[in-house]
Amino acid sequence: MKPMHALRAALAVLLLAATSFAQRGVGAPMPELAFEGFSQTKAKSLDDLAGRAILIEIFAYW
Amino acid sequence: MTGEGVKETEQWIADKGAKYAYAYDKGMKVMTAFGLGGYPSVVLIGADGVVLHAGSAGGATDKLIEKALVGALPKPLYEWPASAGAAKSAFVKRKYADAIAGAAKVPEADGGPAIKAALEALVKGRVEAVKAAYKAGDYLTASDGAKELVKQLAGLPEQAEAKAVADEYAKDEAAQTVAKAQKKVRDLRAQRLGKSKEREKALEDLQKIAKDHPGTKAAEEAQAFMAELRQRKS
Repeated sequence: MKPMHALRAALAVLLLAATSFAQRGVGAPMPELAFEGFSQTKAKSLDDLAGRAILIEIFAYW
Repeated sequence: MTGEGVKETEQWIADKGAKYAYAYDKGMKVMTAFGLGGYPSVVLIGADGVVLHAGSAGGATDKLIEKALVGALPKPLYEWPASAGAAKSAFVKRKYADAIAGAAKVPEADGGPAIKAALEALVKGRVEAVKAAYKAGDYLTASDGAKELVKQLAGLPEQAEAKAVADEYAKDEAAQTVAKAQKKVRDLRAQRLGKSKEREKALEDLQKIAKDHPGTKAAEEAQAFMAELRQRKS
């Protein structure tokens, strides 16, 4: 089982980096998440990914 | 850099040759939902819709990713045929009996049997995961999962298996004590703990949990979080 099989949804976010990590919501069902502008996928929302493992990488670029 | 728009981002994606799916977290709603304040951060969600990790990229270990993949649909919903619309809509609402019944009506030419089999495997996988969690002493995951499944599996024979786990937990005081301690660790994880004083207090609390519940999942989780906090400190 390769980790790459998990769907990667990367997010381009546009703010300066800070440094702190939390674990809010771990162990609980995924809250409703409103991503916008899904690209390079046929998925239009996270609902389209229900039943799949989802790996979201949140990054900024500069 | 702040204030970059879609045009610049798409150019960046093209320049880097990134092939993966991407989307925008406008207003940092997703970051806020998980209490994340740093980049890069990673959120891992299992096929059952449960959040397995939200934090540093290194925290999404191979072991957790394997857990996320248990019972995953082989084909994503957006590739299901139009004739599976009813099954899809029931599945998104986690009404598994309706989803399986809907899949049974999808013609063979549209891959109906495969969709039905995938849904049945997913249900089975979720029930097995809850049973395995209970057996492994992860009573919080097991009891939360069993409770959810009892609702979601209404009308399916597997509901009885989920109910058996929920009932066993309801009778097992020792398991409930461990689950309560696990919850305390998870609640601490949900806090920002940005100040060193806050982290020190959390370390004290975690130490107490580990001491009060030796050899349990609660102690294991407390110790793991203590190690993370100490790393954060240095």
